[in-house]
Amino acid sequence: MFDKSFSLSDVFFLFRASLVTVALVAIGMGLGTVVGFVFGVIGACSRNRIWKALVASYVEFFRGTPLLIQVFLIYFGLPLFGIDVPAIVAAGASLSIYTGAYMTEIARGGILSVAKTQWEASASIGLTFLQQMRYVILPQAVRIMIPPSVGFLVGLVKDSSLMAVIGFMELTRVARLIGDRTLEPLLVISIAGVIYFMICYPLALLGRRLEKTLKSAD
Amino acid sequence: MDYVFHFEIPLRSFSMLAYGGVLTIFVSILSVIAGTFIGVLGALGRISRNKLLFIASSAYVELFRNTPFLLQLYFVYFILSSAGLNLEPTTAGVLALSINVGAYITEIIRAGIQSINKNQKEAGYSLGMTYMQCFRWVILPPALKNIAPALSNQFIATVLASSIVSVIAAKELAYAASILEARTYRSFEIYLIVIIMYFILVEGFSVLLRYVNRKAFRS
Repeated sequence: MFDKSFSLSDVFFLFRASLVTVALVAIGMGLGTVVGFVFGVIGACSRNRIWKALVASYVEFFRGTPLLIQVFLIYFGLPLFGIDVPAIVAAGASLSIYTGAYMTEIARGGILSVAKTQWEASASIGLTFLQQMRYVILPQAVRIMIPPSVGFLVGLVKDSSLMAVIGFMELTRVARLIGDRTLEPLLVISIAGVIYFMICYPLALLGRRLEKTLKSAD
Repeated sequence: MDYVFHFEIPLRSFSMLAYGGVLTIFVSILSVIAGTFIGVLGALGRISRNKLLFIASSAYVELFRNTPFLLQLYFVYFILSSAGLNLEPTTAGVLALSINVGAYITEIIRAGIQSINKNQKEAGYSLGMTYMQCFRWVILPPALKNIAPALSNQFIATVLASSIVSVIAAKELAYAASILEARTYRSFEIYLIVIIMYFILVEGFSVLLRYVNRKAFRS
């Protein structure tokens, strides 16, 4: 009934699963960046100590604990409260929260690295806070944020593999499945590794080049 | 919401969780030490003028930094079993973690060594030092000052990554948590306690390492 040998169609299965991985990473990075921007602005510009402490706690907690346990907490823990958590929701939510913590630090760093004189100059020509952010501060901050964000994105692609552990059908999980079925685990895992490498290596090179151009611009 | 919290369940088995925590520390330290040995060799290869050594070490670094650790773990596990070696899961986990960390430490050491200005080395030569003497007295001390913080961060990252080896039933904190969860089904309480334990571990090590770095590198 099942084709027990490794065939070309398995390679297509792996490529399809890699699309799932890319989609998952896109969702996580997208939502996480939004969260990161919001909290980053709060962390950098707020004068309220309580808000800043809350943001700092969120960042410290989700950067200082393993992603695996975060996923377990969401996937296995929440259903006990009656909340139904399908694997894709748990995967997307945990990656977004995790990314949010890192992006908050990146955004906060980017905004804080913009010279104070920019704030003063833009205030002195009568811009509101939102106008200052939109026209003066954020354009400069975003340029500084891009290299570390690309670096983080490479890590996120690798971290997405952990979602295999809760049964989400991304590349690593599918590779294990096919490997167990065809009894050729090493072959299938190697192919999956090559696919991950083809995604991560160019991104890593891009990140390194961006960091160099940023440094030389100083 | 009619869910009743049962925090006494993880707390009653806290000794098992605490033992898992100790093993996590053990696994992390072992892996970083082994990874540092690998890293030194790798860094030497990365700065070598020998084409073969350079390509081999670069391939190792890029391969293990651009693939997920979970995949590497499975790979090591299956290679070991196909070679007939029946290693303890914890040992296999430490092996895979060491190889993974070794790639990152290679780059850390390489960057530390290459960050030293060439003029320093030339100054050492002009004082009559051999390359070995130069390396030991002129290049290594400031390089270590650069390497130490990055290495400390890598150790923290390794503590977090060590949770992944629980997937192949290696004995550490995350595995202890999953065992307890399979026994009692109290996933929320167990994983909440465990995540707090990891947080305390990580924060504790961060503080400790910052203190050690400051003390060791007082100019």
